[in-house]
Order: sequence, then structure tokens, then C-alpha cells
Amino acid sequence: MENGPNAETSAENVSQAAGRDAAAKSFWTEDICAIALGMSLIALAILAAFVWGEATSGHFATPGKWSNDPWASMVGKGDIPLWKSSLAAVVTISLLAIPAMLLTRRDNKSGAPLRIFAGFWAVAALATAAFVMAGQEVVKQYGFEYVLWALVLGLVISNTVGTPTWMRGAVRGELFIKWGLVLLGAEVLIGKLLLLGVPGILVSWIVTPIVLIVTFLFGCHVLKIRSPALVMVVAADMSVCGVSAAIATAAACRAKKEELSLAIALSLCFTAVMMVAMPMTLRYFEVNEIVAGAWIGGTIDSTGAVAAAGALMGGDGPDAKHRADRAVKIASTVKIIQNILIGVIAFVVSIYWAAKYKTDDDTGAAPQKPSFQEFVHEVWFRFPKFVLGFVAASLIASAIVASGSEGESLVGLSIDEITKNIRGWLFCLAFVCIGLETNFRTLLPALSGGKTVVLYVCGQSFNILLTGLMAYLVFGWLFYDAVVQWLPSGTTP
Amino acid sequence: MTTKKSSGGLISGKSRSVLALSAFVAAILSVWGWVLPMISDVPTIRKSIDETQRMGINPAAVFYTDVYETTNLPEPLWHSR
Repeated sequence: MENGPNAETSAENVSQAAGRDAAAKSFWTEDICAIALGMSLIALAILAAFVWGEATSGHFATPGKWSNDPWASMVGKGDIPLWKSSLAAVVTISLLAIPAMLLTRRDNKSGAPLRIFAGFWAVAALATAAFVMAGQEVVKQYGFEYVLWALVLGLVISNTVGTPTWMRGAVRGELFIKWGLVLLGAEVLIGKLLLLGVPGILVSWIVTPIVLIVTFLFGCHVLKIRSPALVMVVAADMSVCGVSAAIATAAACRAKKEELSLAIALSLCFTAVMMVAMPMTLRYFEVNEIVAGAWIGGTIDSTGAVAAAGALMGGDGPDAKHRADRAVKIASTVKIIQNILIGVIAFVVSIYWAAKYKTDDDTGAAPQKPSFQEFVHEVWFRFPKFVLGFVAASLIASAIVASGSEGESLVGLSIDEITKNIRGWLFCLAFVCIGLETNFRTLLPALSGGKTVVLYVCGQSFNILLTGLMAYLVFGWLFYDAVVQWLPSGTTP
Repeated sequence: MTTKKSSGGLISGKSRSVLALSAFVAAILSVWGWVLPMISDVPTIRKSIDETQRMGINPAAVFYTDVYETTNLPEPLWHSR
């Protein structure tokens, strides 16, 4: 219906203003809920660690590993069976999540309290199944993380019998992801940057941004992939630290769930190959385990796969265990430093995206030559607010750690025994939800006719070359003696 | 969900969906219950699994805080936590 350009622009502006007014009236958005839930849980975890110390150990967990008997994943080896501590984690999440879902529900029918309650527990059952699938030792050995199986289970249900209507109110992938990311923020400890000193920073913080930016520009301007968000998520996944970077970046640039799903599936498949091929190749060419560790740490996407690949550097012979230990130590430390980059990447990407790209809610025409105040207002409107919670959690936890050894052990205990396990459940729940909301047909456009695979391969090839060069230069030559002194001497017991 | 029968067939759309889901569940149970435990006994794979378990490493860790599955690490690895 055409009413002339002035009337049309005026109607769009009114509609946009009405949307913003409605959003402004509803204070409890998903982002605010995620921040509130995340920060509350972090505070409670630190308090529990302060009051009960080591007694908090083992009360919250995820299902464990198994070989032939899946029930072993629910038993574990500790005093508290894993099924009890897993149930405790899920009950804790439900006590917070269900009220949050009621507060932020989109409609009253699927959002009826009983449906949300039942839907949550159905999603939790699928998440449990995903953890059990991921816990099988062969699946685990090749780095196929629980997020992949959560996605698969959700996809299969949604693309066969369909997601039941009674579950839909609890299918809140974004809420779970944002909440999980705020908890993840507490694990981004800025002090870890200096674990390896200058060599670590050179490999992790110089190479990674270069690879990220070059891959992003390559995808947008050379391959001309239509979705810059997809390009950014793949670039971050491949250059930073795999799934966790993909999740954080996707949320920061508001990527579609199909794009996040594809980036993760691509990364995990290539990681499984690289974690075997890379150490094999490096051993064949007799690359020193220190250089190899740095090379592996800066290249392989996933943090767990990096450590496992480092372990394969030992090879055979009397010195195998010593070489493996040194390679793992270097590789995992380089990766830890890269993990810390997540906070910066998520923050910078969210600001860049808010400044450059409109959101789906932003349907009105941008004002011609906005003033600085209008520009700041626009950026703030589009900025994903949960990132503030993510950054705040990181700064608070880092400050407590920096206060001394007591602070360090307090944060360490609260993370190891409480928040990281709940964060794991939240990501698993999120990916079940993403699968339940995704149609196979919507995944195909994300492939961009194979360009996404080309993007990954080209970006990873560049990553391998640049990281290899830096690893030889920094770990093999400039700082070799300092790194050898940093490594503990002697063989393992 | 449509109940239109496929040409020459007796299976409705809904039944086809349920069959597809059942087939997937059966596939998962077979692979995880039988195939994967068999694969874990292959010597090279067994060796790499044992090595990562010796080091207390979780190869499927999502973040660095998930990498070490135990606090009882070999001494050389302790300081990278």
C-alpha cells in the first residue's frame, strides 16, 4: 500500500517508536534476566565457597564419562553420585529459569506456568541424554562436545514428530545462552593473560586478532557470503577458541541460530581431524615439542582438543611422557590465554555490530547524518546488554583473584565446583532449544553453496601458517630459553 | 499433521514421523551401545584414550576451566590450571 514517501517514513517512525516504547516499559527483557540470574548465581557460589570451602565439592555436576556402560556416567567416582549432583544443578536452574521464563514469555498460551514447567523438564531430559552421548569415551576423545549432541537431539525431534506445543514455552535458547555467557564471564580471568608472559601474548593476542579480521574480510569481500554475522561467527570459532567463542560472538552479533549451529558443526568436524593429523604431522617432521605445543595451542579450535592433541605429541620412546607433558602444558597455556580473548572479542564485536548493522527490530530508516548523541543512542539501543553482565562478571572475578591467594582459591572453588557445571547445563539446554526450533531446510542457506566450508578451510590454513611462523619465532628462537626455564623439570611420576 | 496416505502406501504422515524418530533412536542406541565400545578397544585408539586419561584431560572441554577433569594432576601440568 503506497501512501507517498513522507507518510510512509512517518508511519515507520511511529511504529518503531511504539516498539521502543513497549520495550522500554518492559524492564525484564531476556538480557536483564540473564544478567540478574548470572550475577546472582556467581555471588551465591562465591558465598557458598566462602562459608563451606571444600565442602561445596561435588554438589553440582554434569554426567561423566563412560566406556561400555552408560550408567557409569551417572555414578562417577566421587562420594556423591553424579545423578544426584546433576539433578541438583538442574533443580537449581529450574528454580531460577521458570520464573524468568514466566516473566519474559511471549504469549500466554504456550507460556502457561504448567506448560513451562513440563517443557523445561522435557528439555532437561534431552540435555541429560546429550551429556550421556558426549560422555562415551571415543566420542569424548575426538572432541565431539555435548553441544553438538544437544543440537542433534533437538533437530531430530523438530524435524520428525515436531516440537510439541506444550514444550514451546520452555524452548528459550537465547535466555539460556545469555545466562550461560554471564556465568562464563566469571571464568575469563584477566590475570591468566600473563601465565606465559610475552611469548604467550605474542602468539595468542597478536596472531588471533589478525586471523579473525583477515578471515572476516575474506568472507565478506572475497567470498561475498551474504551474512556478515555467519562470517564473524565462523571466523571467531576458528581463530579464538572454538565453541565457546562461537557462542559468545553469535550472541554479540545477533547471528541466527542456524548460523551458530553450522559454525559449531563445521568446527567440531575439522577439530576431530586436526587433533589427530596435526600432532602426527609435527612428530613426523620432528618438530620440537615446545614449538609444537605453541603451534597446536594457537591453531586447533577447541580447548579440550588442544590438550588432547598435545598429549599425542609424546609418541613412543623412553622420553614420551615427558615430551607429552611439556607439549600439553605449552599448548593448553597458549589456549588459556586465547580463551581470555573471548571477553574482548565479544565486547568489540557487539559494539561494532551495534554501530554498523541494524537489528531485526530496527525497521525504520536511519536518520540522515545522525548527530553524535543520536548515534550513541542508536548504538546503545542495538547493543546486546547481556555483554555488560559478561564483562562485569569477568572484571569482578578477576579483581577477587588479584586480591590475593585467598581470593584466588575462593573464585577457583566457586568456578570449579558450582558455576562452570551450571554453565555447562545452560549451554546444553540452550542447544537442545536451538535444535527444537530449527528446520533442516533453514540450515541449507547458511551453507551459502559451500562458501562457508571454503571460508573455514582458507581461514584455518592462514591460521596454521601464521601461528606456525610465530611459534617458531617466539617459542623456538626468541624466548626458547625462558620457556624451557618456565617448564617444570623432570618426568612425570 | 496431515493424515493423507502416500500413493500406494498405508503409512500416514504422522506415522512416518514417528517411524523416522524411532529409527533414529534405534540408530543411537546401536552406535552408542555397541559400535563405539568396540571402537574403544582398537589398540591405537585405546592408547590415546589411556594417555589423555592418565593426564586427567577432558578432550571435549568447551572452555579452559573444563580441560582438567581432576585436581590430582601430574606435577608438570598443575601450574597451567
